[in-house]
Formats: sequence, structure tokens, C-alpha cells
Amino acid sequence: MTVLDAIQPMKHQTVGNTIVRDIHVERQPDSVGDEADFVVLVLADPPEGEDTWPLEDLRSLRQAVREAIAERVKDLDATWYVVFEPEHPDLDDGDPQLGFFDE
Amino acid sequence: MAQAVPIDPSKLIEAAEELAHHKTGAGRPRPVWLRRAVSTAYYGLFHCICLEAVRHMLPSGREEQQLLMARTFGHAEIKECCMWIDGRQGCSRRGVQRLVRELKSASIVSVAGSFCDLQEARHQADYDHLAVFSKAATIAHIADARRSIGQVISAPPDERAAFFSLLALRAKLI
Repeated sequence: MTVLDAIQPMKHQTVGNTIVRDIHVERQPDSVGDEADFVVLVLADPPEGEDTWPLEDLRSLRQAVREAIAERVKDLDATWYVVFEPEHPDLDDGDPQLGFFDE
Repeated sequence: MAQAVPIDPSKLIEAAEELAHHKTGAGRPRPVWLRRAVSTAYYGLFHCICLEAVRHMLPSGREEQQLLMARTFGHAEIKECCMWIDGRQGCSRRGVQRLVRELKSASIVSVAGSFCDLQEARHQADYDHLAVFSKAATIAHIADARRSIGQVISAPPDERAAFFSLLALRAKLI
């Protein structure tokens, strides 16, 4: 079973106040150059008036990923990391992400 | 003569907060500020672990000795230990397997997971031109680093002893 297959049941689940809208896995080199699976959890926007998601929810999600991989992926061939992304991108303020000049 | 001011992890977290919140209201803060916020939050946690480890190992040492010894710890070595604890990598080094097993059921396991993910985010923030950082994820990283720092400091003595011993055994002498 792949990492994506193992964590797929988490899609559409609610943990605390946080809903997992989508899941994908990106295989790419990590900071030491080893191939790694980056588990991207796309989350519903944070609660109204909050800048981010409840930390307890994020930690529970990370733990759920850890447990799913440990239980279901028998021949893990790479390490993994968890990345949280918002469902909707931040409102554009006209400053491009790729801008090299920040003035 | 100017006096050296040691790196204070809590001040780094404060700085990360300021970077991430420099723009109030709707709209994304400038990407470069979010990148610096992620990187600064990581360094807050990294330096906390190093400093707490040497304070544990050299409780009666002079501050200067502790600060010099803190530089012994490397990013990759701490991450490797955290991966063993968090279960992302198996630990094949028999000499420390018992320590790792004990830590897997300890509160420090959540710190280990946070450290692994935060170090990767730091690397992308500092080096990957194509990485995208949202305000929500950046602030989440800072909150995670802040909580982890509190957990490292307040962990039960036996957990601290096991964690810092593991880091010391894995550290490379410089």
C-alpha cells in the first residue's frame, strides 16, 4: 500500500474543528537530498476570525498520518513529512510570491 | 566593549510572530516576511533544544561553557533522532534503541514530529524559490514551535534525560 492509499481515509474527515478537504502526496528530495513523501493536507479555512487552525487539530492530524502510515504501509521506502495548506489561497495584496524585490 | 547577547529562543518566536503579523487585516503578508517567519520559528525551537540539552548535561557549568557546548548539536543529527522517536525512520543503532523506544510513548514525541516538519519548512523557506507560504500555515508553524519549546522545557525529568542523552550520543564533536 502506498502512503497516499494509507492516508486516503482521512479525506473529508473532521478533526476537532478542522476539516480535511483534500490530500495529496508529493515525492521530492528533502533537505538532505533523500527522496521523501510530502503529505499535503488541504484544510478548510481556519475558524472565522482566526489566523490559523487550532494547534491541537494539526497535531492530531500529524499523529493520524503517523499511525496510518505505520499501520498500513508495510514497505516504507522513504521518509515522510506533513504539510498543511489552506483551502483558499490568501487574498492577493499585489505582491507576487515570486517577487525578488520586496519594496 | 559591546557585550554578546546569547540567542534567546523565546525572542526568536516573538520575532517570528512580528514577521508573520506585520500586515494586519485581509491580504497576504509579503512572501519574504512569511519565509523569514518560518525560518525564525524553526531556529527558536532548534536553539531551545540545544540550550536545554547543555543545561541538563552541564547544570553547574558556567554560562559561557554551556553556550559553547550548545554549538555541538547539528540540525541533521537532531532531526535524525526526532525521526527515530516519531517513527519516520527505524533506528538501527542498537546502543540507543532502548532510549528511542522509551521516548516513543513520551510527550516529547509530538515535539519530534513538529521538529521534523518545521525543519523541512525552514529549508524550503530559505532555499526553494518556488515554495509558497500561506499566512495560516506560517502562523501554525510558529504556534507549533512555541508549544514545542514549552514542552521541551516542562517535560518530566526522565523524558528530558532520555531525549538529551540521545541527542548527545548522536552529536558530532566539533
